[in-house]
Amino acid sequence: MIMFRAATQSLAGVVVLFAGVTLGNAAWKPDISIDRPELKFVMISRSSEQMQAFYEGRGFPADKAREVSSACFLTTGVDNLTRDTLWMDLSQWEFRDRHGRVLTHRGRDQWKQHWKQLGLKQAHISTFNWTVMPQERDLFPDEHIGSNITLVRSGNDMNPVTLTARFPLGKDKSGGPVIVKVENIQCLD
Amino acid sequence: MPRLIRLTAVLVGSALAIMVLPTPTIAADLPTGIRAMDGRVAPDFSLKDVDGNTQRLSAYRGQWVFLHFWASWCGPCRLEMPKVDAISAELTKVGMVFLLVNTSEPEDVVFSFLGDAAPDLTSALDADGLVTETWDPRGLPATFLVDPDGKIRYQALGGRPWDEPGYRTFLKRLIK
Repeated sequence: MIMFRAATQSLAGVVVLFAGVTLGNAAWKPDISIDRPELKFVMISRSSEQMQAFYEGRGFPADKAREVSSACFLTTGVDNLTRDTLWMDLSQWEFRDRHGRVLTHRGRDQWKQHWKQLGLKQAHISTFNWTVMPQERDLFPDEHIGSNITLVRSGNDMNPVTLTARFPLGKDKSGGPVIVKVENIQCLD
Repeated sequence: MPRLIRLTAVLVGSALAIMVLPTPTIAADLPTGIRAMDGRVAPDFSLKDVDGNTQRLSAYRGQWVFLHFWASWCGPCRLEMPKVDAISAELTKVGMVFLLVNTSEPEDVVFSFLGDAAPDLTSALDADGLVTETWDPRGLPATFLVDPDGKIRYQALGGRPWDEPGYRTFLKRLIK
């Protein structure tokens, strides 16, 4: 019963979280919030328990939902405040652990392949896909994107993690880039 | 005299500027977050809805279709749905079709959610999520406006306050 209640609370937290990331005015406080003239950036670290509860709540079998603990989930939101195209391109984001080692993120395609190998139902693969950040997005003026970035765990002593994110501007990416440096990101167990 | 020359120069300059500026299009009048599309043909689909009826997009040729992709776990979808419900009550009467597509959730979840959030709406069930994948929205929720010829004319970026005057006027203007 306690387990169920904990899972329910975690699930509710994640649902509210997704709402917060995608709507700037929601009553939701991110771990990290950076306001720049060109963009707003927010991030919150999620625990494996929270993410497992979320996916189990969406009908994932428990053994499959446990797979998410192989990565740490950073729910991330970006708002384009410019009057130009602002590029969210994960190939231009660099995460490093406390030792300066570059961390890799697992993208939608890699997860999809992984889930297919494990025999996850297509409906669940689809749901999972929509909860993970796309590799690249040309954000239009006033557009927002909010989803999870999943970092592959490199060990037990990753924290704190730092991020240097470059956001090119313009349709052809020739402008900018806007550079955002984020420190003290926590990869939660 | 120099003042008159300056004034003339300003007037001529303004006239030239007006001539070289592009003609304003409807895009300039679009509410925030609504993006004009290139008019590509809308991919057809056929899905069962929560009432057991078959919903085929092409069956609505001749009418504007408000095509909305959503999921109950998505926070912005939850916030937007009552607004979709409100505007649909008004615009269905004047000929706009509201076609909702739930992405990958079981029927009982969809039924239960809509009962609370949007009791007047029904939704098609994209049980395996493949129709949504074909449409490839930029995220959830996503709304496409499909014209009477079956072409995608507009896309909404994320959730929108459809019941606000700017959006309501925009939608009404389409079906006139």
